[in-house]
Amino acid sequence: MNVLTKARLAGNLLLALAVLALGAAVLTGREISPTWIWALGALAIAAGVIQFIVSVAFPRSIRPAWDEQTVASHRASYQFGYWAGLIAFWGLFAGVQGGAVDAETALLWLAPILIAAPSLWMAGATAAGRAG
Amino acid sequence: MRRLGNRLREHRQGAGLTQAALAEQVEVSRKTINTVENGVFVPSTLLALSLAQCLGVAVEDLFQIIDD
Repeated sequence: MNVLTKARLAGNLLLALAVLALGAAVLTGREISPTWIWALGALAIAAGVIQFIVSVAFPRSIRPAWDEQTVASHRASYQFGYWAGLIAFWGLFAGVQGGAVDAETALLWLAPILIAAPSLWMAGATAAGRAG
Repeated sequence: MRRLGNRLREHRQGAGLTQAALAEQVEVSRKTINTVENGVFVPSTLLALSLAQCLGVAVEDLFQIIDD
């Protein structure tokens, strides 16, 4: 596993764990504030920037870290993210219609789901030997 | 049912290369070599030809169609 693969895995794990922690916090009765969403978005952007810096610093790590198997897993992660977002949307929409969730909370939840789903997939793909 | 069989591991070991060494030469990750050897990942034509070239064999020696 080269340095770029490690940076990507660390970013994906951090994002997935942050969103899972957020979900756990909500389940224990805490409310999500927009600040949390800002923080998650910033973490996602920081992960991308760090990978870019690592790519520039270690250019020989780019091809192995983004070989064809990893690219295939990366595409699959976005497909997973799409379906996760779509299912979450309908689930939250039903929750809003039924009065179980307010519209603002539902909107706020879509962002973490869209951020975490591809990251979770890529972390799983790396663990399964299908990326990096 | 047709599937892709391969003798990559045999040829790699015959050439005295580790998965990591072969991966470095064809610029993929070691995991990709591993999944190709285990038949989990089907490589592109480009990668198949690169592997054959690197090991000094014909691509047909590395990959075969198997009819089950």
